[in-house]
Amino acid sequence: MSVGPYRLPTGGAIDRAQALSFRFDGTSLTGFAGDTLASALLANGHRVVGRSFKYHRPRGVLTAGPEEPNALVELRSGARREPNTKATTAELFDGLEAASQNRWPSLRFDIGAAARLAGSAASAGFYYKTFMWPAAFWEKVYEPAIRRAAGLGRASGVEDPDTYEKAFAFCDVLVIGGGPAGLIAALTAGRSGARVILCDEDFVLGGRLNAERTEIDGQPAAIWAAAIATELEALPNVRVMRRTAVVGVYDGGTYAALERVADHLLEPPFGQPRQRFWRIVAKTAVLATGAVERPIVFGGNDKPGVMMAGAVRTYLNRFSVAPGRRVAFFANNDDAWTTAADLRAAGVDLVAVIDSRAEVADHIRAKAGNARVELSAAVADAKGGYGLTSLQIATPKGRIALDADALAVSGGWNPQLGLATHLGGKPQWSERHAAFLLPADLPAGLTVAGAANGMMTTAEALADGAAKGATAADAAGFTAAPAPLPRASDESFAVAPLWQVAASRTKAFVDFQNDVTASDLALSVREGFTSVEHLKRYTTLGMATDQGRTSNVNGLAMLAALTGRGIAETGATRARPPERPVAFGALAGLHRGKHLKPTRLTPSHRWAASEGAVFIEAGPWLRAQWYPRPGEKTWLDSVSREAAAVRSAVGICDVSTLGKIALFGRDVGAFLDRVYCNTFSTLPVGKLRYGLMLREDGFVMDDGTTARLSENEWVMSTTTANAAKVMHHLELARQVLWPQLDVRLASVTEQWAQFAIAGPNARALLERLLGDVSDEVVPYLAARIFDLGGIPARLFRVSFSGERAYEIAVPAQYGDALAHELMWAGEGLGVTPYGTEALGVLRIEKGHVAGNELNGQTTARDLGLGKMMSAKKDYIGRVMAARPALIDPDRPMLAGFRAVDPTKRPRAGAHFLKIGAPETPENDEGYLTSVAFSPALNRWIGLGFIKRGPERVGERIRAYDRMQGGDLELEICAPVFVDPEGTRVHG
Amino acid sequence: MRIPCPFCGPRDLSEFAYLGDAAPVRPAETSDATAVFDYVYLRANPAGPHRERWYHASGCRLWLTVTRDTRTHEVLFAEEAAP
Amino acid sequence: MVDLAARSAFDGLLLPIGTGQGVTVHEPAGLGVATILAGPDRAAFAARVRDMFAATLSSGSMHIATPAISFLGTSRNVWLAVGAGGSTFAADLARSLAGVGEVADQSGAYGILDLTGPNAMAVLAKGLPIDLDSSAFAEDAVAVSHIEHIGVIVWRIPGGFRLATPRSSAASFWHWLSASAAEYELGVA
Repeated sequence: MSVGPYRLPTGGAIDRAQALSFRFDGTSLTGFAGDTLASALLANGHRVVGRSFKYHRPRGVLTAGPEEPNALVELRSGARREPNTKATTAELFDGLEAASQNRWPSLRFDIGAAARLAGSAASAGFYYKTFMWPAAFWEKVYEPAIRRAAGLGRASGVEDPDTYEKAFAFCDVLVIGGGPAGLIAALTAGRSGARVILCDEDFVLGGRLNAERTEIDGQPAAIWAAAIATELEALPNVRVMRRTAVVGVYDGGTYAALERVADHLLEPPFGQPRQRFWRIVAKTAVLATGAVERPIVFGGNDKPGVMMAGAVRTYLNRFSVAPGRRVAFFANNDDAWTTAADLRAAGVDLVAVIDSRAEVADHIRAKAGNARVELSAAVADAKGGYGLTSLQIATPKGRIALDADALAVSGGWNPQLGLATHLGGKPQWSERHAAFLLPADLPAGLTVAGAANGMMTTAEALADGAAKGATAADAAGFTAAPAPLPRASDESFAVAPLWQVAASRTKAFVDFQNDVTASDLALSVREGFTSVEHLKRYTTLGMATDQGRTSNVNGLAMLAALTGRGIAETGATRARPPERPVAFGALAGLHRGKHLKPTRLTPSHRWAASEGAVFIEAGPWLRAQWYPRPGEKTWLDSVSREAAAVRSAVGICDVSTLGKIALFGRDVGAFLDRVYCNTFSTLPVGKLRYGLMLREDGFVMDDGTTARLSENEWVMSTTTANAAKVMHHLELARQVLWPQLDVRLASVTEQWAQFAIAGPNARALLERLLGDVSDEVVPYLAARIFDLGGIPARLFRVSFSGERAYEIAVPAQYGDALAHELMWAGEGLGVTPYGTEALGVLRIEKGHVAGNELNGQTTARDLGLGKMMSAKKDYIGRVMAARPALIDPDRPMLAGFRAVDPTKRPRAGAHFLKIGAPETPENDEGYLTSVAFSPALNRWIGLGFIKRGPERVGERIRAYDRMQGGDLELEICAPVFVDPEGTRVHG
Repeated sequence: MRIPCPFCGPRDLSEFAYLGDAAPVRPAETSDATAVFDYVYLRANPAGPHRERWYHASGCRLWLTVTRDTRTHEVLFAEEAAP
Repeated sequence: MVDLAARSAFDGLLLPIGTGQGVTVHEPAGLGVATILAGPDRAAFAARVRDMFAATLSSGSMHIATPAISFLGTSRNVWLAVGAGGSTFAADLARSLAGVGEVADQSGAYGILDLTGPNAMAVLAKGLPIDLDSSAFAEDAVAVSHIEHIGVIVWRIPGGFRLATPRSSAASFWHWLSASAAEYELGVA
C-alpha cells in the first residue's frame, strides 16, 4: 500500500494507522482518516482534478477550503451521485468514489479543450452576443450545445435514497466559526452560563490553528484548539456543531445553518438524514468566519501546481502533504513567508520567494533561508502543458525563467464578511488591510471577531474573540468574566496591494471557476459595464458555486483601476444567502413526494377505502371521489350510478371536510347579520339557514349554512376550501371590527364527523337509527340533537342534491363506526356511498353554486342570489357590492347550459361566443364553470356565467375552448335542471 | 423575522398571517361609497415604523397590531388588536 | 340499540422503530377534550372555576393542572381542557360552567400523544419552532404552534411532553414523528 508519493513521512493531523481506500476516475488510491479528498489526491500526486467550465483548461487544487473554485468533483455513484462537490471540503471515507467533471472523454484528453484554440470564442458577454438570434434557437440548439460543452457535473437523474430534515435550535450566543477567535468567544460566553451554540463547518475545530506551526500557551496551536474543544463539549450549556455551516442571517436574530450529518460516511446510519437544515434563533451572535486568501492575477495563474500559499501551509502542516518537489512563492505580504519557512522545515525544496514589494524586513526575509529571493519582482507567466513546469519572472533587471513544479501565491487576505452583509450592510474598504472590513450597520445582535474583523494575527484574534464573546454574553443577560488570554504570536501581516501583473503575456484568470480573465474585465469596461453589479453579470465574475470567494475583490480592484476610481468608491457586490451552496433536498426536508404537504383524512377514510373508494386530493384533504363497482368500465359509470341512487333511493357521503365554527354569545345573531349579506338574527332556535358571505370589496367570499342550536350557541358551516379563511375573517370581525359584541368562536371542524344522507329513502334509513325524523320532528331546515347510543348526534335537515336529505354529525372518533352503521341501516333501502363527483353532478343538476362559481370574481347578483342581499342592515361588502361595474346589467350572470348534441361533453373553462362571432377577447360573453353528465337528463349539462344570462334562456351559443380544442354549440337554460319546483326535497 | 406575540411570546414569522395597514377604520353604517372605497383600498406605505395587522394563525388566533420598521423589518412592538 | 365504537386518532399508526431507549410514544386512551371560553363576566367565571375545580385560571399561555383536569391556556380567555371522562367530559364541564362560560366538545378533534425519554426534546426540535429548554419553557408552559404545517399544542408531562394535534392530520403527523425519531430508537408504549 502506497501512502502517496507526496505524503511527508511524519506530522499532520491525519491518522496514519487508519488507511482509507477510495477511487478517483476509476483509479484505486489510499488516504488516511483526517484527509480531505483534495489532500488525499495531492498526496497521491493527482495535480489535475478537473477541467474548467468554459475553456476546459486542466485545473488543480487551488485552496484548502470552501472557497475552492477548481477542484469540483462528482462524489459517489448511482442514485447518490452528487455533482459540484468541492474536493477541499469532502471528508475522505473508506470506499469514497469521485469523478472529475467537465471533461470528455477523459480528464487527460478532453475534446472541449480544443475549443480554447478558437481564442476569444468565449469572452465576456459571449452568451449575450452570440446566441441572441433567432430566439427559437435557444431551446433547441444553443442551450443543449452549451450544456454539453460546459458540463456542470451530472445529477444522478434518479431519486435520492437519503433523507434530509429540518430542525430548530435556540441559544443566547451563537458563535459562527471555530477558529481561534470563535473558540475563545464560545468559551468566554459558555463559562458565563449562557446557552452557546458553536457552529463550524470543518470536521475538526480550530480553523487555521490546525494549519499552523505556531504555539499557543507553549503548545502547538492545534493541540490548544483541541483542548478548548474538549472543555467546550464538557460544558452542559454549550452545543458544539461540527460540519455545520451557517449559511444565512435573517431578521430578528434568526440564522440558517446546514449540518452535513452523514456526508463523510458511505451511507447515513439508520434513521439519520444525510443533511439537516437548521434554523437557529440567537439573542446575540459572534461572527468569527476568518479570512480567505486571494490570488494574484498573472498569466497562467490557473496551471495545476499553482496554489494559495495558505493552502500550501494547510496541506503541509495539517495533512502532511507536499505541494510539489520544487516550490516557489509569489507574494505581496509577510504572511506568505511563514509558509515558506514551514516548507523548509518540512524538508521540501524551496526554489525562490518572489515578492512584489521593494523591501522586506530582515526577520521576514530570514524565513526563506538560503533560497533565492527576488524583490520588486512578479511572476508574469506560469508555463506547463498539463501542470506547472516553469515560471517567467519579471524583475527590475528583466525577465528570468525558473523551474518549479509548484507555486504558492498570496495576494493578501480578505476577511469573510458575507454573513454580516445579508441584511444589507455595506463592507468598508481598509487601505491598511488592503481588504474590505465590516460594515457600519451590522445586523442587530451580531458582532464580528478575529480575522473576519481584520484582526489578522493569532494574538489579536484571540483577544478580539474573548472580548466579543464576553460582550455577546453580557448583551444576552449574563455576566462574562474576562478570560485570561493565552500567549500567542503576533506575526506580521504587512501587505502592499498587488492585484494584477502587468507584464503577463498569457491568459490571466480572475475567476477560475467561471473562467473570467483579466481581458474579459477590460472588455466589459470598454463596452460600458463599469458598475460592479453590471460587470458581475456581464462577465459572470463571482457567480459560480464558489461565490467569488477568491475572485471578487481582485475583480473589483481591477475594475477600480480600469475606471480610474478608488476601490472604496467602486464598492463590492452584495452578498446574499446562502453563504454556501445548499441542496434543494436539505431545504425540502421531509416534504418530498406525497409528503410535499400534510394530508388530511376524513373520519371515515378507512371505511371509504374498504368500500373501494378512489380518492382525490381536495386541497389538503383526501376525499372519496367515487366508488367503482364490478362491471363498471369508466369513472362515469360509477358516478352516474351513485348520482342516480341518490335520486331513486339513498346515498351517503362524508362531508366532514366542510369547515365548522361554533359561535357562542348573546350577540351572535347581530354578528352574523354583519358578516352574512342576509339576515340571521331572526333565526329561531332549532333552525338553520343558508348564508352568503361577502368580502368588503363586494365580491362573494363563501357560502354555507348556520344553525342555531340554543339561544346563545350557533354552529356555522363553511366550504371545505375556505374553512381557515372564514375563521380568520370572523376573528378579524370579532376582535377588530366589533369587539363590543359578545361573540366567542371555536373551530370545531375536526370535532364533527358529518355525513350527508340524501334521497327518497333517507328518512327510512335514519329512523332505523334515531327513531322518528318525520317532517313534524325534523322539518326542512331544522337542526336537532339526538341521542345515538349515548352519543350526542346533531341532525340537520339540509339538501345539496335537491332530494330529501339530512346531515348527521357525531364526534369524529365515532365517524368510522357511524359510516358502517349507516350502511347497515340502509340495507334493503338501496343505500349507496357516493363521492365528490356524484356530489358535484347532483348540485349542478340543481344549479347550486360551489367553488367553481365562488371564484372570487363573482358577486351575489352574478350568482343569481342578489335577492339575498338585505336592504335593512349593514354588512361586510354592502356598499362596494353596489358599485356601478358590479351591477352592470351586461355582467355575466349564472345560467344553465346544455349541449345541443347531448352526447358531446363541453369543458369547464370554455368561453362563450355568439354563433358566428370571431374568437376575439372583445366577443367574449362569459365562461363555463362546471360541467357534468346528468344521469337524470341523460345528457351533458353545465353551469356558467354569460352576459344577461337569465334573459337569454333558449338562445344557442358557442362554447369555445382553445386550450383543450373544444368548440361546441350549447343552449342557454335555467340553472336548475332537475325538479325546478323544489318538491323532491320534501319527498 | 420574529414577532413577540403578547399572548404566546416571541414566535417565528411562519406562524403569522399578514393583513396590512392597521390605520383604516371601517366606516360606520354608511352608504358613502367614497369612505368605504378609501377603507377598502387606500393604504399608507411609509418608510419607517408602521402599525400593521397580523393574525397569529398557528398560535392563539389573536389579531395583533404590530409596529414594524419597514426599512429594517425590526419589530418594535406588538399588542392585541382588540381593546 | 346503536353502539358506536370510538377510534382514536392514531389507531393503527403507531409502530415502533426501535427499542424505545431514546424516545417512547404513547397514545393515552379515553381522554376528554374540550374548549372552554370564558363569558363576558370574567370575575364570575373565575369564581366558578375556583368553586368547581379548585383552580385559578390565569389568562395566559399556561398549564394549570388539577388532579382531574389540565387547563391549557391557548388564547386570551380560552382554554383547552384535557382530562379523564371520555364522552361525558365536555357535557360535565358545560354543566359546571353554565352561565359563566361556554364549552365546545373537542373529544374527537385531536390526536393526543405522550412523547417521553431522553431524546424527546431533540425529536420535537426537528419540527417545533419553540424553545423547549427549561429556561425558556417552564414547567407550566403551553405552546400552541405547528409542526411541518400541522397545528400542535405542546405541554409538559413527567419525563417528556404531551402533544395534541388535529385528528385529520394524524397520519401525516406520524410520518414526521416516526422519521424524526427513528435515529433515537422510537418505542411505542
